[in-house]
Amino acid sequence: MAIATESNLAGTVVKPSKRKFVMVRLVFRKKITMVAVGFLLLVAVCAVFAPWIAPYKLNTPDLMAMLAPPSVHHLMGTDDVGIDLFTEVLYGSRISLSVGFISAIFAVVIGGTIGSIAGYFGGWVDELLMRLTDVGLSVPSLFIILGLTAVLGTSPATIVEVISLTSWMYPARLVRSRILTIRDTDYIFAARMVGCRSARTIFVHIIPNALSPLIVNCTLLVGQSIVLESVMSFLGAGMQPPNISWGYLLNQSQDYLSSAPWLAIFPGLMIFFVVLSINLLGDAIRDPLDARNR
Amino acid sequence: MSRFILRRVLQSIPVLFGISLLLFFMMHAMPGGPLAMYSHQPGMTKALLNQLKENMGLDKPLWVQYGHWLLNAVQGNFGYSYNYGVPALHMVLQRLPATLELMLSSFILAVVLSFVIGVISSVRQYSFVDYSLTILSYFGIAMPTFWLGLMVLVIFSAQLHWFPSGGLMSTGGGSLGDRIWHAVLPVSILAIYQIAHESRYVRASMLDALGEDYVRTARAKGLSEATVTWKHALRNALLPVSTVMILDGAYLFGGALITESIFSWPGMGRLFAQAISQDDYPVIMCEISLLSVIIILANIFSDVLYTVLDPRVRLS
Repeated sequence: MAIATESNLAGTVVKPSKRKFVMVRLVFRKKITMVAVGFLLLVAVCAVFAPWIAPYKLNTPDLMAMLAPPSVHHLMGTDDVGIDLFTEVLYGSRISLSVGFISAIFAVVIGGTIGSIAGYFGGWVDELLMRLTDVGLSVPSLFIILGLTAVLGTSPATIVEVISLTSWMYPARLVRSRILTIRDTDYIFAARMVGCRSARTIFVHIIPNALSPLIVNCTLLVGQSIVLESVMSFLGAGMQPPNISWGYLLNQSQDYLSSAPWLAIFPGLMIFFVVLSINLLGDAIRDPLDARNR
Repeated sequence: MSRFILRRVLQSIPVLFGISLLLFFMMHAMPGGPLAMYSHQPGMTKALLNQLKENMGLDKPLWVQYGHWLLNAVQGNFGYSYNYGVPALHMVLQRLPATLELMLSSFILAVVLSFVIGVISSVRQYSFVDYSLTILSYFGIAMPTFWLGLMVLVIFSAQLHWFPSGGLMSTGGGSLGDRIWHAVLPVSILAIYQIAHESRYVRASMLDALGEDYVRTARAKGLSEATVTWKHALRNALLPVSTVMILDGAYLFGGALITESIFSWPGMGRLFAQAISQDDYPVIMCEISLLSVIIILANIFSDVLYTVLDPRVRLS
């Protein structure tokens, strides 16, 4: 869920004594965005090159170092059979990040298609698709997700499908409302006049003009999907070995909360910082993409 | 007004219909189907299974089966739990009070704190306090609820031993103090995301209200800043926020599912997590249906509330 927008940064008259804070805020915001982007790139690079970066081989227990606390040898400590947690977190980032990313893309593509068809054609098509969207918004999504994985199984592909099938509604509404305003503009009339078919009008002329809010939404959805996957895995309805994710590691940490808290601390910190960075990035790209702020 | 409510209720019927189709599809996609529980019983033969299939109407066309299921579901018959043999609805309703206790307490906590934080942030916009609260809300939104729950357990329960690690009450206990002592951690964890999220809405909504002409008029009349803030601005800022809060309240069920699993809270969420791990499909279906209805009712309620609170909104 996005943070409520700063509706009147530009509109409010700021008292002189507060001006320095506005400056501080803008600078801080830019710097913090840079830090967030840098962190995300670092995590992404680490995920791609995990086998080369990892200090230990995955799934090689060291029975001499079971539940070892964080140290120089084991940066994040070890788990109950002596597997290096840092290595597991590195490999976990591959699953967590890719699931988050792919699910968000799917959700935006599904939602974008449904929203643009509904908005463009209007009438009963619109009515039908929007009722469908209402259905999606009225079901308790976490419960549906867990119910679906109980039925369909927990392969990574299923998890991506289930996550995207429960998060396309907001992009659909976003695109529809955007298209309703674009549909009656002159350049769409012009496109129709030169004989564009509906599909071409939608994909070549309308979607590019409705893209910016969608990109912001997609960014935020990546973070939400990462959290959703981790919740599923934490509750035991998500990733199973050998597909370890951060959520799965947290699921495994529960039995050792008092004896080995680091097992719960580090994977969770990764989720927290990645999602925080994604939210900061999403908010940072919202303002320049929003035409009203130009 | 009653016509408006009636129209909204009628509008929700196709939505409920869609949900029921979705649920029915899920039921049919289940491994083994409704006969799974019988097929493993000793002495079960193919002929007997077929007989059962006929008795249960599973040999009928799909749409007839859907009709039967729908008729039963509307009357509150969601079948029997595979593992306990009692009606699924009965099991879910039995767990409802514990969940409501958890949800209502954290909802009230979240609403009160969101307003306090949001109003302070907006009145002192761009101050140190505002920035600190903004940063905290970013943290609260990005922090996965279940991980925060684990961390709180590690610190306050495993290390400091201030609070129990879970449950509704101590064994043999049950006094009010004991129950509150058990509820502190789960209620706060469930409330934190709400507070982080909603205090931003309150702030944005307050900032809009504070910029309005009637606030300037109130100030020009010489009213005190406190009166202007709390009586004039806040009352108007309440409108958009109230609907957001009610809708968020309905989604608290999702958060309750997670919180109850972590803190062994014997509510609907924990029942659901158990049902999932035991493949107890009737309980799963019953709970999803019930929650969908609650969410739809909350939707209608928030629409109605909006028109009641704001006479400017025309009922059409």
